[in-house]
Amino acid sequence: MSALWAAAGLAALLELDGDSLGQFGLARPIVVGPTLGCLLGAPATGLMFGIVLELLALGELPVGGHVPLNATIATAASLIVALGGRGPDGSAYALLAAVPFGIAFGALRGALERPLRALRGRLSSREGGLGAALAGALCAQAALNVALLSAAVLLRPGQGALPDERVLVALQRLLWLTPWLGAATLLHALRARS
Amino acid sequence: MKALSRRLWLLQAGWDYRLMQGAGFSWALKPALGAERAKRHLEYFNTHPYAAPAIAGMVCKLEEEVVAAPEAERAALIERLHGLKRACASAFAALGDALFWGALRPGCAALALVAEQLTEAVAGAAALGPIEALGIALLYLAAFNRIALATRRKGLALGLESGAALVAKVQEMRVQDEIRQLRGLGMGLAAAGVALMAWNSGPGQRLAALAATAAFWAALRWLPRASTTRLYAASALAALAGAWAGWL
Repeated sequence: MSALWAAAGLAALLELDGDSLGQFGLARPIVVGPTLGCLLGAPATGLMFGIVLELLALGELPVGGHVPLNATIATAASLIVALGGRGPDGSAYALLAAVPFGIAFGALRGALERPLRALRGRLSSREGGLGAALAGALCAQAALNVALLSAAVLLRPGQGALPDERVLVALQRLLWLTPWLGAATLLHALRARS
Repeated sequence: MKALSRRLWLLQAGWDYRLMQGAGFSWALKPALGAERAKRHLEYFNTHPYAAPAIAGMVCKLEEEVVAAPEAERAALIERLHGLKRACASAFAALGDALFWGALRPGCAALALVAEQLTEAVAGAAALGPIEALGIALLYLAAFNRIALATRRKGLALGLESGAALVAKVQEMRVQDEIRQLRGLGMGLAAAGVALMAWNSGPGQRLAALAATAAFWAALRWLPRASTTRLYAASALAALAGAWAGWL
């Protein structure tokens, strides 16, 4: 359990590299996945989730004012669920539910980017220096990430009664389809443009 | 300039809808220009984050020219500086997006995919331990940052050296040709990666896998307003509907 909290904390900090601090690629799913996977004792699962979510995230570009799905939070939340260890009956379900759960959290974090940007605007218009405003903005972003990923740890599926068998079948089919959607997104991202 | 270079790492820390990167850009310029002149740059500014160092270098060079000019000419030079800054920001935003988000990032993702799928094909999925997993992550980071870090470092130097001639210098570099080459290389890697995925998925599933990929690609290419997230949501709903109806 402590490994899950450590993974949530680490992912919350790595997410800052995505747009706000450095932008060295440390927040990309292909990096976050294996890192958290190693921390949680399943590097292969981490790598596979990282690659699939990296490919899916290629379809979400931060151009203009568009706020894409937050791929770092999506990856972290997916791995928290997949490797969260809720017991033998729950763990198979957790693996199936991981990516949809992660994407939902990634989308939620993307939606919360708007109020975060509004807060940054208020911070930078205050007296007290831009340095303090930027530091405050980073702290607010980190706090938001920690709150979201803590919620992911606490709310992760796989505990209690399993859902209807038909939901499990649907999740199995979706899990099979997801890497191929990633493959299509990769090919589409690299298409030649006139 | 080292302080400027490091401060540009926080270019987007204060991104908001009014100034966009303006707060981060102004803060980054402070060690080079001083508080008063840096405050003049607390205005709307938005460009590709890896192109910002080149513009910062240009601004520093032009600010030196303002200081060296007679008092009567300064206002006109300052107006020219801000105009050039805005023009470069727009031009480099489009170029940076095409190079880094449109070519380099997917190309590096394709490289990581090929590395992972090759490892799986040759040694089996069980061979993917922590060293292999972190090794592939490092491969991605090395490939991406080789170009990204060089662009930031050399961009700052180029801006400082070129000043107002920055745009002409960048045009000479024929970046569009580089983008086309990167995209071509990336597409080759992507095709290899997808072929390996199909190979690794086993004989009974290859056709279905390739059909699914083609269908998704066609949807992304031709359906208006199609996006990866929307296709994922649609797939989830279709899977649920199919399972509920007993078709799956």
